[in-house]
Amino acid sequence: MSPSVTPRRPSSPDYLLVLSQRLQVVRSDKDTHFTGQLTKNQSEAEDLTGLLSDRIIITRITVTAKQALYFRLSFYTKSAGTNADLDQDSFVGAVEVLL
Amino acid sequence: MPYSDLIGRGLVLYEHAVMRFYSQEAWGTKGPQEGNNPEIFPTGGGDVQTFAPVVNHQISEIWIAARDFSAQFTAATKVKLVLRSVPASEAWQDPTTPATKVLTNAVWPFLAVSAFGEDTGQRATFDSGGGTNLFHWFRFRFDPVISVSAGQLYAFNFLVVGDPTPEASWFAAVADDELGGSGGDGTVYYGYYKYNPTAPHTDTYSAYGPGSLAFRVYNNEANAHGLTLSGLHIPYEDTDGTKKLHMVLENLDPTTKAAGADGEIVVEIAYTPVS
Repeated sequence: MSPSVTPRRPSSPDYLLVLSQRLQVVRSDKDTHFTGQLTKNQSEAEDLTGLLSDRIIITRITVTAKQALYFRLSFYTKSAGTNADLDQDSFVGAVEVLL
Repeated sequence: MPYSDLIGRGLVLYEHAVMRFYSQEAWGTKGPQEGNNPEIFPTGGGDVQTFAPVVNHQISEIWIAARDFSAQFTAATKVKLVLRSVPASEAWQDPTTPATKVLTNAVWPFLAVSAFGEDTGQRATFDSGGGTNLFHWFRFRFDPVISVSAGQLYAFNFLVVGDPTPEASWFAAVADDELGGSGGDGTVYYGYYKYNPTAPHTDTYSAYGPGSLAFRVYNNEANAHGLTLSGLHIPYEDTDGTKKLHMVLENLDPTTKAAGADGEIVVEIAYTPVS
């Protein structure tokens, strides 16, 4: 006996395609990132892994910290992106946060 | 990186935020100011010592709620507000003493600052002890904004100027209770103001810049400080092809960021992938 088949109504699609934009987040780890002591103007670099793409648009930055200090977050397109030769420096943007 | 370059890249560091303070604790949870008391006033409460900002900031707007001096309101033609400050190293003094620094001493037409008038919505929950509960809102806007340094203590003195009485009463918004400057015939209950935290790069920057960012300060746990910058649009590409975000954290603060647990910091980056 052949299985019964319920015909689809003409108005019913095979599937629904829902457009959605999911917010992706990458987050530093409090125990392994930015753990060093930083006096004024000292900096510490980290490479946060797990981006879904090499090309992204940063839309929001949230900083939480034990100390209410004044920080600058700079972004570079390369690991160890700072370079004394400005043609080689890969700086692309920064924000400052005053906690 | 010059600040002007950051602006050129579409990055605006701060937008205004709203700061609230208590001038009378008795209002407690009934007031609309209920919620986290932001870190700028670390301990909260009605003690004048709590009105010491912990960061530099700029005041752009002050709101004051007042009640029970309806007689003055009836005859009032002007409202006067004096904002005074003293360095943190000095003991708190009467804000009318010459030792204080007058940040502003201005008179506004009554109607110009009392446009919100009586807030009848507050009557039911405001001060169950009775009274007329006439409750007026005043909004004072400062243009340019007022810069206040960290560690300063400051007081708001609020005056209703009646007619024909030139100066009816002073009301200070920083004491605990019975704030009326002349026999307690009026009470300024609390106020809050909008401010713009300042930093070396933002000292000359108005709080009314492009409003694409949101700024939020909170202190939801002891020793936790947070800030969110939203509305950003920073195109980024990892040219190493490793799907990593290469980031540098620089401490611009005179205070040293501690190592280890005492200096914990978490940075969260929200992004949209681009294929």
